[in-house]
Amino acid sequence: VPDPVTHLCTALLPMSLTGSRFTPVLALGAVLPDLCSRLPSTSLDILIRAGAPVPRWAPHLFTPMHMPYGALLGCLILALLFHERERAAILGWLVAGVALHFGADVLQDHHGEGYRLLFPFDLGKYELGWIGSEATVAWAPWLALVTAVAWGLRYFALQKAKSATN
Amino acid sequence: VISDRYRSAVGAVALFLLIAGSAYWTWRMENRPEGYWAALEAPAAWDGREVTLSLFAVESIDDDGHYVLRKSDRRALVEGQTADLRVGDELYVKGAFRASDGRIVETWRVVAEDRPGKWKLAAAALLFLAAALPWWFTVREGRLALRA
Repeated sequence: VPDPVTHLCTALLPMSLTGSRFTPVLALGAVLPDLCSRLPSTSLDILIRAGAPVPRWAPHLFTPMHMPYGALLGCLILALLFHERERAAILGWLVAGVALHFGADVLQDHHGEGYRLLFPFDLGKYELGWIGSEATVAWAPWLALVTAVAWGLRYFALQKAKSATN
Repeated sequence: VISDRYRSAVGAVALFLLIAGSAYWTWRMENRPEGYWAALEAPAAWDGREVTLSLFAVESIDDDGHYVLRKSDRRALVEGQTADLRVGDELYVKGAFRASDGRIVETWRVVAEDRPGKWKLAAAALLFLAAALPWWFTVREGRLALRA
């Protein structure tokens, strides 16, 4: 996967132009597959390496959350936790964030180890191989800076507009 | 379908499908090994075939051109150049499986140099989310809600 900072910025940077109140939902969707899959499975891997009594199969349990199958079900379950009046919009923005996530993921090249996008119907591995798996590390801090500046400018423009109105 | 009327039923079905998918995947990974792990199960059938290891960490290096890679609790034995390898490096390796000793004879290798940087960025993103999520979302009337 590209690093999570890049994933967050792919959602937050374009949304600085719109300032939509659903920006946090898109950002959450953009990191949801990593939060629900990579984070727990890597944590369990670390415990296994440290000799903790964790079954070796346990990290696999979370892998489907990093596939469209699990991520979309996760979006649905998460959306159901919100109020009914906002639920459809929340679900739509979460799914858009997850789509952004996988869109960024498949750009990478893992030398034959791609993403199983069609699980459970097909176990083939897919990726475009356009960028290296660590390529985003170099530009992520700059992307984060540009994103922060974009939101900062938006915040100050809003403050200025508010004070002009008052 | 996602209205409050069907919320419990839809949630239960989604949760069931998620658990079933996870259980199937876990079963498959443990019982239908792929690549190097399949080769270890049926060495003769895999002798000479190409296998790939993705992002395995170097656990130990021998002087005789052999090294051991590890991911989680799985280890892979590799034969190849060791001069520029360091313990802890994360690698992509391609090579031919050798049935006689269960080793991969390395034909191609790339060190994922920026892997530590990626871990640092992941930690930074987690810290950001830990601060941002309570600022973005709240609980209102027993349900999650966006803050204004």
